[in-house]
Amino acid sequence: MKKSLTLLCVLLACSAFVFAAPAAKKITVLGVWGGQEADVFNDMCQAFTNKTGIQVEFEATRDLDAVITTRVEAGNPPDVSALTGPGKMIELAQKGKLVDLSTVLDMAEFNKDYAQGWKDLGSVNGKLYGIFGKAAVKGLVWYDPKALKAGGFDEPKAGWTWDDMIAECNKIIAAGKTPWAVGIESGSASGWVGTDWLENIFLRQNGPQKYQDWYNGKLSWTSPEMRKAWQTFGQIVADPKMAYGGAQYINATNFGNAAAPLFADPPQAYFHHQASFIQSFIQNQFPNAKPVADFNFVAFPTIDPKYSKAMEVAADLYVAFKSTPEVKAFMNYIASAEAQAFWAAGTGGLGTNRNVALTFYPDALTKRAASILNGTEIVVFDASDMMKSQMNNAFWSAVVSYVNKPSDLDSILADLEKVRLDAYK
Amino acid sequence: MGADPLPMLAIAVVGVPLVLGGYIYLSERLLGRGARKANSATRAAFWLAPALVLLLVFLVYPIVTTIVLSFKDATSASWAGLSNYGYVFTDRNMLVVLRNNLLWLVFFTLVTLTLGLLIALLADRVKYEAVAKSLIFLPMAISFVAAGIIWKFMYDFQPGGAKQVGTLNALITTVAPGFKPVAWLFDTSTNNAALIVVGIWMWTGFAMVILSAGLKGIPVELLEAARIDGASELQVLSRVTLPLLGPTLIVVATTLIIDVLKIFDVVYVMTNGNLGTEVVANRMYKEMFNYHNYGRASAMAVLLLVVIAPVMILNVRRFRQGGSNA
Repeated sequence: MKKSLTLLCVLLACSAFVFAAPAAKKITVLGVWGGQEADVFNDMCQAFTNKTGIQVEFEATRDLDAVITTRVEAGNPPDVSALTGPGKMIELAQKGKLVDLSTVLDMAEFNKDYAQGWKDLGSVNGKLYGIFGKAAVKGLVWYDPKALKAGGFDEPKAGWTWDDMIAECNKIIAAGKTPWAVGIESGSASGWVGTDWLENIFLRQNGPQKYQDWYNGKLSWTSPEMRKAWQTFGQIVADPKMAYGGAQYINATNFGNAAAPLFADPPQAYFHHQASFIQSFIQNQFPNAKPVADFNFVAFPTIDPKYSKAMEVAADLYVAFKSTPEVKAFMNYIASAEAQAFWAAGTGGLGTNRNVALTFYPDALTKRAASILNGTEIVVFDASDMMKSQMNNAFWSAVVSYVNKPSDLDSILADLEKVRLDAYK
Repeated sequence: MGADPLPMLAIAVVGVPLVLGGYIYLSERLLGRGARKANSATRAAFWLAPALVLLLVFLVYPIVTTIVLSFKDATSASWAGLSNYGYVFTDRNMLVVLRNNLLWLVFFTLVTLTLGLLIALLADRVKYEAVAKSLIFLPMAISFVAAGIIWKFMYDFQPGGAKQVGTLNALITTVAPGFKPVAWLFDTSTNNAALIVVGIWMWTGFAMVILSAGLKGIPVELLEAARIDGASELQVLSRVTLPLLGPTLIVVATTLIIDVLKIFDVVYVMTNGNLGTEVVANRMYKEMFNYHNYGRASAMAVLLLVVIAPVMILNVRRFRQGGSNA
């Protein structure tokens, strides 16, 4: 009895000690980053901690959508989350879970630093809820200029058309080679690479207005425009001569390794379609490959000349669930050019703050991507990331099914239409 | 901020035993005043109450809520009648999901049980039994997610002519050079089987260990008596060993069935349910956390509950009856 009493006293003393410990100033951030991206994020946060004394606790998950949902529903959201697209932000904002950032940010500074396009994308019903951290330009076609030259093929020029591209591909096929390298595997988000293809095709066939109708759920998936975009995509992925390895290889290959056939010796393919971020993947996998000399990009081929100026982008965005002084300091820091320069230098992530100086970008290719982003006339956001998550998920899976069996297109589109009617009631 | 884990932990470590101890002390004081014999039922109720309350809060309440939600619409705002169940049993994609669960149920259970039994029987006769059994049991120690990732490498696919990184395709193309590599996880004719194989690989060890223990429990005299009476080894197996192993086989089978009906991780990691490999638990997860359709997700949860409950009951009964056998 006496022994247990002593034990109890010790335990109580311990707990008193624990309770008395002063709470350190810190914030929690939930995001998707791992590997190099997580390193850059932590470096960026370290600079913040050095300045303010506020610790940043970063937690990463590959299934952000589900984790955020559970934590918000359970009343235990993180302080800040880095989302992968505005779709989830819109959903959370409409449920009243997010902090209106105009009460958090130095708005005079923000208005000076950010283009109207980014403000609009981060707003719901006129209120600002999200600030974009790092951006990527989508719809770039990557190639190895030396390989093309060695094979006797032309280097694609800016302003090339879809027909030019197909003609070039036929030349490559005629020489007994395969033009495209495509890989769309990505764990629980498999298929998203194909949605990028479709978005770029659709945008260049139908223009930004129709594109917006599409992601807002106002366009039928069984419409002729939609079907035409899928069939255009099919010219590449449904033809085993066009894409290296055929349908099963496309479905089985992770997007991060998908550019590898371009750099095989001899090259197994010549073109690869992916956003600007793929550069850091290529350089990690092939450390000797030099930007511009060994790999380069050109904008996605024009389809309808009317819409040749449109550019698709994607970006991570930060939203806040709580409005503490620590969160305020962090959000203002995230929005600054100083913070974004970390991404520019570390991963070639493009700054959304227009004051991120071009000097921060590590090489000529990233600089070119950054200046394309700053100078584009029509910026549209990745459509699938703007859709409701149910629609987005179904869209990803539909691409996988289509690549597997293009002749199923009718039933695949009919299924997507059913999801649209259900999600946008 | 409430999320700081340390004070919470301290409260749990100190507070919970304190509260429970206090509760028991108080109830005993209360009861101690009356006659000892008369209030034995009341005493039992007092002692049971904490466990019952926990059961009520963490088991009964969620079950009832889930059943209620399954009759409501996506946001649980209004009643939806049987429409969620209608979706579960008639939607074209859901039928594929149900078919897959059936495939898993039949093939996973049968093959795992057969392999487990076979290995238990064979290992029983060899000197290196412990080593063999440890090797077979090893995958049980790996989490489903890790197993999924390991097998993703095993199943890796490169087009014909290219260097094969996946163990399986490398083996096939080396042994039979003319053979075309197979995209195990992305070919709709092989992908479900490929996933089920991972499940079997993980659970054969479990079936083997339990069956092997059951086997050791069979008295040697019985087997010897049969042999002296002139029974062949096959007859000993089919007339003596297997009937005596019956209760154990049923326990293993029911455990496997409960397990396979809830299968989620392997599919989630390896194909995420694409190309016709989705199972009920994956669909439920998507409906719940990605689509926020609480009605449909709840209907699927109820479906799993209704299917699993009888198996559970059978299992518990078996345990009660034949504790010594099983």
